[in-house]
Amino acid sequence: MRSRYLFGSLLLAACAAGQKPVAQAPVPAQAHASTLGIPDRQMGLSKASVFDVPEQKPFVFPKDTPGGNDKLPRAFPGAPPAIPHDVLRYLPITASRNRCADCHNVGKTEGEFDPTPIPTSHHIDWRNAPGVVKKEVAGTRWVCTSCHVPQAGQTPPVGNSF
Amino acid sequence: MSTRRDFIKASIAAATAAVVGIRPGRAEGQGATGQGDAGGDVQWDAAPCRFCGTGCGLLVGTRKGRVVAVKGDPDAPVNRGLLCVKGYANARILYGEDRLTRPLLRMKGGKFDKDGDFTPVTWEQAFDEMERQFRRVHGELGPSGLAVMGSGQYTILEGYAASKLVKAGWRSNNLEPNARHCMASAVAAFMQTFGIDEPAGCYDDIELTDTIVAFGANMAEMHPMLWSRIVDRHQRDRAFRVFNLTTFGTPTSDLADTEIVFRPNTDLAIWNYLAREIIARKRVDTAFVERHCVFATGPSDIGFGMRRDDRQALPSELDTRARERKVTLSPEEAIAQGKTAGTAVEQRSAGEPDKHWLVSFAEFKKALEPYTLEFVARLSQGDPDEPPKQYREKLKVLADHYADPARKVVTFWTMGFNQHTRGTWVNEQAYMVHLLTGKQAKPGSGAFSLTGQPSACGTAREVGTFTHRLPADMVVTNPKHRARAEKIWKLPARTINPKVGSHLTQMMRDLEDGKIQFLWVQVTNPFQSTANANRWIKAARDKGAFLVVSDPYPGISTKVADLILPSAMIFEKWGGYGNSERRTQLWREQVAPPGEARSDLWQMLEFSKRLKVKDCWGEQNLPGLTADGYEPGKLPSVLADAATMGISPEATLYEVLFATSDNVRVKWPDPVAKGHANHTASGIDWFPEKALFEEYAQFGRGHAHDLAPFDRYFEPGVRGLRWPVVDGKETPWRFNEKYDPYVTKGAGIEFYGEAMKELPSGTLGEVSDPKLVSLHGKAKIFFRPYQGPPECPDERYDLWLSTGRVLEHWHSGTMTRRVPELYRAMPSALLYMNPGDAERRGLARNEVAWIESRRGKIKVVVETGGRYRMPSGSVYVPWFDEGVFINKLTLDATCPISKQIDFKKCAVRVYKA
Repeated sequence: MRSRYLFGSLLLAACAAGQKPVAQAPVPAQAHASTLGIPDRQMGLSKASVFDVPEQKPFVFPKDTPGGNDKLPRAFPGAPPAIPHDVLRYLPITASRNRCADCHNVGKTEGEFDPTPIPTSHHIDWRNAPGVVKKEVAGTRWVCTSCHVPQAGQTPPVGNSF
Repeated sequence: MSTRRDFIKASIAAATAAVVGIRPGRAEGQGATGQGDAGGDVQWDAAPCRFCGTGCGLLVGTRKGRVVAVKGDPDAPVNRGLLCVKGYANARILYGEDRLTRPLLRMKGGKFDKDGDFTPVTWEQAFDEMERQFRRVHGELGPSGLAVMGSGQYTILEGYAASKLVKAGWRSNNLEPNARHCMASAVAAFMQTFGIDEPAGCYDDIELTDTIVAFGANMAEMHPMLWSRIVDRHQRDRAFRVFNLTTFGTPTSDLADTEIVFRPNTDLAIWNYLAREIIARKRVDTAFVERHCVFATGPSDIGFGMRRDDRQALPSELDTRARERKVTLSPEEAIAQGKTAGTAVEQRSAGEPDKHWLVSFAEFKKALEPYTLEFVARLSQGDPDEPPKQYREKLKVLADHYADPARKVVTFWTMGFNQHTRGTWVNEQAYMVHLLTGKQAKPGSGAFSLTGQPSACGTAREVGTFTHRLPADMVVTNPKHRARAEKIWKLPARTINPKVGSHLTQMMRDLEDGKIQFLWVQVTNPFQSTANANRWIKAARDKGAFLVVSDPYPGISTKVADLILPSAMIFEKWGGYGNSERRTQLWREQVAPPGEARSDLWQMLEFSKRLKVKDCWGEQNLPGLTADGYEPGKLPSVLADAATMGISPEATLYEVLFATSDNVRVKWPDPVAKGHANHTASGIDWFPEKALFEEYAQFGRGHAHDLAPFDRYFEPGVRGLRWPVVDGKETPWRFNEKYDPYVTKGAGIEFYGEAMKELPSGTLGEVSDPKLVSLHGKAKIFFRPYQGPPECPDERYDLWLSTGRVLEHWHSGTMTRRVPELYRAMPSALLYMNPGDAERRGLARNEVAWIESRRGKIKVVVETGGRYRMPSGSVYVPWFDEGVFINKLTLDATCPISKQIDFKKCAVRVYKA
């Protein structure tokens, strides 16, 4: 927890300062220095010495099957929705086959349990016909997995205050 | 099952085609989640993506001093409104909760102590210790004991400041970018082939070509938005063909018409087969070759860039190390090089691997003779389970496409070629085939080297943050180039050190040998990213070394540091990047950095105030220096000359290098900011980024590297410009008279680069006529033979190991693994393995295995399925995960010409943990 205090609390203090010129950011008293030292093995995403060999465990995607009211919250409006189910069995997407589209290529949402439809934005070819909503999905969007990714059950080792 | 036909036929609610003004950001919100746009009070401003070399355009949304959203910029020609999953993560990378916000120094009892814990200190205290250590090392070892490791993610301004500080200020040439590990082989091949760096073509080639060959490039994951343009073309045009040449099946293979899985290093043989076939089929573009090309070759006994002796070697490494000195030719190497199998070849040319000379077409043709379809197919087939006939047939189809004069071809490559112990050669071979067929420097045709990093081109190459380089392709060994740099920089003559310093891997070896003891790392994580990492992390912790690491997040390099400096991230500073198609893109500071974090530029400017002219510009010992006009082993004092120029010995490096009388006239605030802040300029009334950009631009203007004025890049409608920008016009295709103002009128095509354009002539084996021939305006078609790698699987270490990236994570993962969506999409690195190989070792999917090489071992989870299809005998482990520290295993062999490490080949064994 010491490391959380060291990094995180300073971050929050900085955020509170908003756009204030950073050169004037407060400098905590040096008196705390001796109590705040953290060893290198407590830093980073792997809390271990760089000379250690960390133990490993497999990760799993929690839901095998699509369906249900399982939509994940987006990071921000406009961010691509993450995939709430395992995708291994539907991949790969090839030049002639896209199994994501089997379910998601629907005109509109009937109910909250329906698959997320491919949105209007994906029907605009900004290179060749900017601003025109076409009947077909833009070819640049064929590989769904460039933007949409499944989510394993793991909790990230550090938070994100975005 | 949905086919492409179903997909495009699908109708949507508002199916009628209509012109609408919506932008993707707003349109995305109309998806099922029903979320709207990021809100009305969000300010949007254009900036490039932080990640790969594609250089996608973003719109960055800020509100109340925070980045709240990003979206693809529909006006950006590179990506036209699209972003990949990492692109969207640009908004969140700033906000990991363990962001470094204060300088941290290892201390005990209130003082610096190498064995101490990291303790917050003020910037003042941080620079105090840094200065003490700098002075100690500079006093003991001179300029060659100091080094800076920078980055292809440095902004152009940061790279330029680093170059000026290290080369002009410290008079050390020990500045290297991590790009040494990324595209040094591409650079060496550009210089040797064309005499000038960087691609002839541009991304528009994708829409103009009808054939794409991805060769050693998993573009679907590593350049996803460029790949989306290829997929789009493929979907629209039935005649469009995509080939993927790779050592294992990847998502790029999934969309390719033809996947060719080859054995590691046999790309060298495949190119020679293609060239042989083009000649045999009489498909050489004779007019093009006669007018614009010459033939050349060089020595093949050049070693593998490893240490020449057995110093510091583990017993397990001795057999691999021995190949640095002597190679016993395998039967295939013997055939390919026209020698006898079993011959022990002393690697005599390791000291001059870049030497080359002209040969006749007849000699060139003779050299290609052994590379028949039968020989190359047998040598290069990478999947032992593929029917040989099918493999042979695919090679033939590939040759058909290159040879067909009616077809345009673009060949893309990245790390598969560049990270290669013959990386320069294999880059040159791509040009060989494109030049032979006249498919180069023309819209829709060209051999196109892609870079991995956002400013590997803009900063590492164009600014020249390599040890041997100066801006605009100039080199420190050339007296005219040094004089030009000294003139622009207003330095006394002979300030710049003429001796090439240590390349990145050599810096690590020097650290191990105690020859470099002050090392400052910025915008990179070299202690995770350099092969054979066990050695370097140990060396960093050695008593004599002082390691400063500037980073926004803790990672392997900060963990082995002595002093950590908290850095501002991309949108927290002004900056500029240059992408793979020579497009320079600048951006404004969008939000303030957190806490006391500061831009890397600010850090360099501040540290330069700690050193005076008299500290660095007096006579300096420089072991090994020999150059005309210099006393051996010494850099002369330039203090007297400096005084006559009005530079006081008491002046700081800040005053003579950065806050010069010209630069301080570039005032801050500036209307181009449109209200945006600049924390780097806090407390001063000049605009460091703009001043440095304009100073830097002097190097390239009139020298085929012209940049537009700083403000032009911020004009509405400008989304970066491809240099050379002459009379306000960018250059989409270089060396082509129609598009490139540097081509002589009437020449049509002219390869006008000037480096290495005077050569002797000879036979395949040696120089026979030392008279130098001028090759002005011409490109070189190199013959380069097949050579195996220095370490191949054997009985003890029986598998090939390749490393690389994955779509979801960037490099060492310090940014992307702090973005929850990306972390969860790929929480840890896996060992991708052929199911049969796993079974034979008693391993199953999701079990933990040891993976071990001659240099180290780690534990990793086995994956026998997933996105990669490993042929029997090969495994792949991505390197993004500091907990799966795969570079403890990899081999620090390099291309002897480019000094770039081969991360794609070493031998390992895998067994149950």
